[in-house]
Amino acid sequence: MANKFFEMIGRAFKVAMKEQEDLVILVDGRERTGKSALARAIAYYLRDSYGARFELENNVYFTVADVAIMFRRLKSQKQTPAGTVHIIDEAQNVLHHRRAMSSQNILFDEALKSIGALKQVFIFCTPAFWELDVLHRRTDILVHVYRRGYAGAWIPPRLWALLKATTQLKKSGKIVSFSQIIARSGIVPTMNFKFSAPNDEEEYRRLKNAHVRAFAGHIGEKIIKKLGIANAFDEISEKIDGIDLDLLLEQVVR
Amino acid sequence: MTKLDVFFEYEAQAIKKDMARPHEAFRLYMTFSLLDLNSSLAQFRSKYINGKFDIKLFQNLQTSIDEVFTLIEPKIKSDELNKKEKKAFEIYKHLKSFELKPEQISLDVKANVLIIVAEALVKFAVKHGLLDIMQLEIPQTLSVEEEENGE
Repeated sequence: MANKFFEMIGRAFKVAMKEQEDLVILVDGRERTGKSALARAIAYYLRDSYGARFELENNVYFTVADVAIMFRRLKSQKQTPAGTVHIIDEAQNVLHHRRAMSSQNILFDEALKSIGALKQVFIFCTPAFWELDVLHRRTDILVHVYRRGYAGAWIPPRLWALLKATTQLKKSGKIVSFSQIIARSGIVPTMNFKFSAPNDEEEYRRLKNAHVRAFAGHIGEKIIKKLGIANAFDEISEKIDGIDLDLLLEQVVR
Repeated sequence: MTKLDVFFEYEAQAIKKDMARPHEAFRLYMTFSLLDLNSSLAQFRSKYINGKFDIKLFQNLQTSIDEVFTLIEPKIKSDELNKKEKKAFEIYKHLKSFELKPEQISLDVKANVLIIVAEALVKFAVKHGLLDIMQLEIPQTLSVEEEENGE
């Protein structure tokens, strides 16, 4: 496992913990490229080689509710000891820029501001890193997964240049793809690397489905109760195979 | 020492290896665009052949093709395309130049044309080694460690 990328992550983790800092990694990549697999590979590597804490059952967050619980737990050193790795899967669903004015996002913004000196590792997975502006200032490493098992990494100061170029590009028009940012800015990765997916895919899928379904069910019930359309949720419940809550809300309201 | 010192150390290593090849910049652009196209194609096609037409994935595919087609099409020799691909390329060019209005052609036909064009572009890229990001000598970038990770 010890390629240059993992070696760097390990060293940065060690120093960050010693200096009472957090380590924030943003994993970008299209659907099915293996973003979560890489996030878990990093978590297992830090756990097994550097004594970080990570449990698949407790430290992977799939929904807004999961992330809210994570932030609540972070207040207690007992519940979240130093050196814990947290994976926020599908981070765009939790921290999407279009919800910037919602009360939910303001709360998350506040919570994210507390990131920095908690001695934790946060790994955010997203298909569009440029939409998660709120995280940019806190990000230490940006990883883009090209396809299963292959990725590139941008680290400071190069990362800062990339984030600055991304902000400028956003001002000049809509960003549609990662390649567009790289091609326009010409800022290539610090390193490319290979990774192997961990052997926990099945357990991860089961966990993800359970979390998403439980959350969708909970939200669905609340909407139905509020709007008095009892059948609507049943009709669409079969269609809920993802975690796009915006779409879910849209369909129920319609 | 802080985590930034660690990062600066790796950055310095990367910059030391700076090969500063301007001609690679175009290839970098092409490879990233092709990687995008490859995954857009895979995503749209897998749903489409199962009878699900995902308009968002369709639009993604259209955007990706548009970028790659401009870059690669002039480089493809006519004997590198089969009859079906040639026809799809023709229709696509007509669509691109608005000689053929989008409403004149059904979404299903358009989807098939896009899939054939995308497949032909990816096939060309694979044949010429354009899709292999790991073999690409990117300026200011550390080379890939081979055979790590137990692979």
